[in-house]
Amino acid sequence: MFSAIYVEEPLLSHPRVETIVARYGHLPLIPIERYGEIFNRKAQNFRLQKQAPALIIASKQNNLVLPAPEQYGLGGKHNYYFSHLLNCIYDCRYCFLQGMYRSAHYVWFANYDDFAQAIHDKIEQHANESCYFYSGYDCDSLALEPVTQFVDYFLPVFSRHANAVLELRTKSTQIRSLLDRTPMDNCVIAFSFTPENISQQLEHKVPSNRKRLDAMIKLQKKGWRVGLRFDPLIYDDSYYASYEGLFNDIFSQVDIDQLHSVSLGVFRLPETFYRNMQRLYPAEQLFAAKIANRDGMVSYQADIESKLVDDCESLLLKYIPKSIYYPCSME
Amino acid sequence: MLNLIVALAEEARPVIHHYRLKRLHHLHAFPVYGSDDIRLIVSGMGNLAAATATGYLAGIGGVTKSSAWLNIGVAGSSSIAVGEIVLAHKVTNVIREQHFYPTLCFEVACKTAAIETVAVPQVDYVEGVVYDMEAAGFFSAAMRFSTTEMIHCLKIISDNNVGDVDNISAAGVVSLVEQRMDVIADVVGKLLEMINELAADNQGEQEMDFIRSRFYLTVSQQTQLNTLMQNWFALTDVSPLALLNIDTLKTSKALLHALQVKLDELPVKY
Repeated sequence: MFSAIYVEEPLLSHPRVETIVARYGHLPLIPIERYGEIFNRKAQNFRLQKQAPALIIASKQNNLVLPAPEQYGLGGKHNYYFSHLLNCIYDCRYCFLQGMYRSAHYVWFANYDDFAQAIHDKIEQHANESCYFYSGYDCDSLALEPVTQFVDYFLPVFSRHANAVLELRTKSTQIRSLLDRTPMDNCVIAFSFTPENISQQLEHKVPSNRKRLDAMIKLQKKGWRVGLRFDPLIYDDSYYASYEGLFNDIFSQVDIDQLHSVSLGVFRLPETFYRNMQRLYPAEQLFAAKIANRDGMVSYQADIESKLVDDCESLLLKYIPKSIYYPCSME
Repeated sequence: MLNLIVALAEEARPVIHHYRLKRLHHLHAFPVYGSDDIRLIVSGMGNLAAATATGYLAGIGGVTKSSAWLNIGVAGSSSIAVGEIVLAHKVTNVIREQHFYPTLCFEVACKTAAIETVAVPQVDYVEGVVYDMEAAGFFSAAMRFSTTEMIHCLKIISDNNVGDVDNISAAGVVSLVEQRMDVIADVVGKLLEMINELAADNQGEQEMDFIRSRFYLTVSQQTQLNTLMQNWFALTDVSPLALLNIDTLKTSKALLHALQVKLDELPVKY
């Protein structure tokens, strides 16, 4: 799973870290001063690193909880995100992390108590209002759960704050730790999907749609609130049939009345990220077809984009009420 | 191109023999040996020599972003047996207190270790540390030309606290390297695979050459052509020259426009 383990020296004696280091005792263990010595340095190739990433265990010092990007919210007034992990075990060709970071190594911030305190402080700021916390912005919330035990630590934190909603965004089927607990009203597990033919081409190392859907149904049956994320929408010549099939498949199996939210957003990237990603994968169709740059954001050509979004939105609203639908715009 | 930097002729000899490298007699500053995809330079001892030789290889041409760099040599360690070979996972320039971290993105049949590069041979070894005299200079220079996934150091332990560093013979060094050629060849093979993987992205070179020979292109038009050609081959393996009626296109502007139109017509299918 990892090619090496780098650990910030003060964390070597941390109980959570000791367990992981012992589990991966066969790998090179490399003490470092700060994770920035390894992560995101110059002269690194994300694509090559992605073939065998290392685990960097670090402590996050500042900006533990940040305002979420505008288009990331689900209608709430106060939206924040926090990242216990940078980078993802999956290899989705459209993922902005490839364009944002030079390194594909996973950085795991093990100082959970500091995150919990920062989350608590934000919740206190909005004592009588609801606020949303997103954990799947810089990583998949659940995919590395056997290592990070993120759910085991953070769900009890949120169980003490009914006005704070935690979104776990994932493509993973690592749901055992959730199935073992009592469902919480203020936790949403949001699963991302693209049509199977697109997923097979662009979502490398990701569980199949079938497995993801099974995981989602299991959680829903157990009483967990689940959401659906069709973001990014990907264009191909037969997108209409592909998305029609995907929506039909999903909505014929999940309990629509119990869905928390559904969001949809077209493939879009800041220009610099797009350029970095195209440089990494020059032979990738995704970066070559029907692409246009508008004011520093790269997406599909305007006519393609609006048709793709309108069509998918219409298809989607055949199945779900508008009250749980959250479009992600480029603005 | 894979570039091997080796301090001593004795360390180089088994490698030259294994890969049947030929001396490049037109190069005089350092002894350089080569084949189609591998070059080896005998740098001499020390950080400065290793860095200079690395820069020299880059300077004589043939180096691209997909080039790889490997420093092979002997080193000292108190905790690793003589004859063992290690791949560096950290390289420290002891004098400058600089650290370098080769990215380990392939599996190797040997241990990894931290290497400390020192200015003079060490006699008192700290437990767990491998000492050499070139790795940091080599690494620092190679990072100017390639990424850390493509830069590595392999060290064969030639001495420890038990033996005397002055007793290592030239024949002994040759023998140590010969005995570890399997691991060296394994790492060389992995690096060549990575070079080929990165080089495989350069489709459309022939078409670009043809177009350049037929049309005058400004710098900006060359950039446009590069992008169009890259996008083209991301969508199809069919050459655009087979679909464009190139003789009817009188100007470079018309060519680029025709290429864009054809590109937009290509099917997008997952």
